[in-house]
Amino acid sequence: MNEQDIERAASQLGSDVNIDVEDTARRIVAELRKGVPRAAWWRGQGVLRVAAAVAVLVTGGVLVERAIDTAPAGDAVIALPVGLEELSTTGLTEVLDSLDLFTPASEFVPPSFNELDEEQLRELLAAMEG
Amino acid sequence: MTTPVPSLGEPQPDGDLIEAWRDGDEAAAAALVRRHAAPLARFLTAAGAGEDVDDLVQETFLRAFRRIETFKGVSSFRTWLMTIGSNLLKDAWRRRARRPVVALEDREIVDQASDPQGEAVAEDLATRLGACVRTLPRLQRDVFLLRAQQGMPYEEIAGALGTTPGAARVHYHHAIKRLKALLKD
Repeated sequence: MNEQDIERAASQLGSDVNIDVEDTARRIVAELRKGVPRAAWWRGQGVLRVAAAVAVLVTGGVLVERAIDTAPAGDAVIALPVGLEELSTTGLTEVLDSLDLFTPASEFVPPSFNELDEEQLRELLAAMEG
Repeated sequence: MTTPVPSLGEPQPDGDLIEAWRDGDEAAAAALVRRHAAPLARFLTAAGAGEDVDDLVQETFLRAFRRIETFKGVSSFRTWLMTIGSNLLKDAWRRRARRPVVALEDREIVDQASDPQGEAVAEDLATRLGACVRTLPRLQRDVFLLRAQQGMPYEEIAGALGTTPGAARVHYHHAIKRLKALLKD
């Protein structure tokens, strides 16, 4: 079998398929009239990020409050060596990571602090400082 | 009751219809479907669409019309449609987590007792070729079908597939070589 035989046979491939072109056009136009399907607004990435940040802040605040309530009197719960304003985003993240707030017994699994922006990190640390 | 789709009187170039659809002209979209649906269905069937061809044709046009702003005219509208259809076919196969297995005996074979022998041989070759084409790597398959089935020039194929005409030729050559080997078995 040579190339010409293959090309000749290839030109016939799919020639037995029959579709109703008018019906296809009608269905397509009807779908187009419905418009582009939109994703639910609450599934947008921005909304989800804000929701995640709020969840982290609220949960972090609750955990800090509990830690303060259960700490022996007179103990410094969290000692931050420098003012928050002096820390970079990386520094803030490292401080939070080093605090080891979330014990294995806790059911709360925190998202990575790397996902928070600088402002959110400052707010979280400020909340922890009380 | 379905709403009638308006028809356009004079045949218009694809470019004019595309521009009209960009302005929201449904009649232009319908005209493009009437013009390209059958060749697209043939291409998708040869590529292995099987019974899903109607749905795939519809989905291909919908995707094309909804993303018409991404059509830059590097290739013809028809070739662009075929590359969209090929992508959708790949997605459909991925969802099913398997490539279609086409058993030769399941295909309609011409009754040799009532047809001239030459036609029967040609039909048999087309049937076997169809099954072999579906085993080609996707790029080879698309280049082969666009060239041998649709008669597209290499420049056009290259524009649609984002490659060079030289590379398209190489893919075609490899496809032919592989098909020869498969058909010999």
